[in-house]
Parts: sequence; structure tokens; C-alpha cells
Amino acid sequence: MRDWAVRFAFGAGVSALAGMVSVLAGPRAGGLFLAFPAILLASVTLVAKEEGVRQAGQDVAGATFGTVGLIGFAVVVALTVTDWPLWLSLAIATLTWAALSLALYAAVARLRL
Amino acid sequence: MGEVTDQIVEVVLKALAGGVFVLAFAALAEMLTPKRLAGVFCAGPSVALASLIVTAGIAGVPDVLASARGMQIGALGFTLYCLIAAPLLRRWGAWRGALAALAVWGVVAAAGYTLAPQGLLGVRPPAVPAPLPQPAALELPPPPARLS
Repeated sequence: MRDWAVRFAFGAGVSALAGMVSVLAGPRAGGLFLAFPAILLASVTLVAKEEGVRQAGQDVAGATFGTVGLIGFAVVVALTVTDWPLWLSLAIATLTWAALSLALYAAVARLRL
Repeated sequence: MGEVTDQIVEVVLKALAGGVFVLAFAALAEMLTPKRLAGVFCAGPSVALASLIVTAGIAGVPDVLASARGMQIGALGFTLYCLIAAPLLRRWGAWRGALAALAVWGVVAAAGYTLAPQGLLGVRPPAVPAPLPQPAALELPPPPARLS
């Protein structure tokens, strides 16, 4: 239960940080923090405490694939949000994130076999 | 006063939505093994989805576009963060390694924000073609007079 509270706190905290930066310095500066590694930081420290640093390293390795997907997510939103309905733009961007991340994960896993 | 209140409401809404979306992605990650695959969801678009939805509702689509351009830079920094953090974790432990790698994200974010105002792809609004210049009226000399 405590782990979930920590994750919620990190998520709320980084979202609030992005929101404050957006208010103070504009939405482009706030957008930088939409891909801030806070959630990974929370996860890594929790996993390291419970399962060791080696497992935490596996978390980081997996997150690398997710970050490439995040670049794809942001590019798709930028390309489509002015022309498409918001829900469609975000849905396609999320699918792009999943497809890129999981394809990279599968490709690297296959190379390691 | 009203504008400040609106801004505070916007930040609070983003915080609550961000927390909920992070929990949703964490729940998905908990169901997955091996750990490396679960790690993919630590870099999920949870905070981005929450913030962009609230931004669209309050500030409108132009701010969503600007946020997405900033996010492209942040995500590139996140990728480099992961590549640097993995060896630092082994060397310095979880907290120190993960925190030290944040410097990489900060450098990439600052440099990208300064150097790439349109994001990674230089996405620009479609340019309106300029009207073609009209040819100047030709002033021809009068035809020669007929001799016959």
C-alpha cells in the first residue's frame, strides 16, 4: 500500500511541477517535464530496496525502450493535435508509444537469445 | 486574483490526474514479467496524458502543441538518462546513481529548449505560398511603318 502511495505522490508531484513550469515559463517549457524521469526514479529506488540493485537495473533497461516510445508519442501529438480531435490524437500517440516500445523490447530480446 | 486562482486549479487538477494515471500504468506494470518488460511502463506516457488532457480543457490546443514540442526534447533527455543511469546504478547504488544521471536529463532539456524551439522534427505550421510576381507590362516599340 505504501508503494502505491509513493508512486501516486511521485506522479502528482511531477505533474504539478510540469504544471507550475507551464504557468511560469510557458507550455513548451512545461512540456519538457512531461518526460521527466521521476516515476522511474521512484520505481528504481523501490525495486532496489525490495529486490536489489540488479533488478533495479533491469527496470532502467526496460525504461530505455519506453523512452523511445515517448519520443514517438510527443511527435505524433505535435503532428496531429491541430488537425484531429484530441481523443484521437492522444489515442494514436499512446498506441505509437506501445508499438515502438514493445517492438524495440522484442527486437533486443531476440538479439540476446 | 481570478487568474491566479485558475492557475492554481489547473496545477492541482494536473497533479491529481497525473497521480491517477501513474497508478494506472504502475498497475499494468505489476502484471508484467520479466522486470525489464515492466520497466517499459516506468517510461509510459502517464503524466503526459494527464497533463495534456487538462491543458486541452483549460488552455486549448495551441498549448497542447507547444507542450508536445517541449516533451520531444524531454523524452530525448529521458532516453539518454536511462543509458547513463544503468551503469551508474551498478557503480553508485540506486539513489546516488539515479539522481546523478538526472544531470544528463537537465543538460539535454536545457540545450534542446534553447536550440530546438520547434521540437525535434522542426514541425512548423504549413507555409502559405507567396503570390507569384506579376510580369511587368511589356512596352513594345511601335511597329515599323509600311513602305508600300
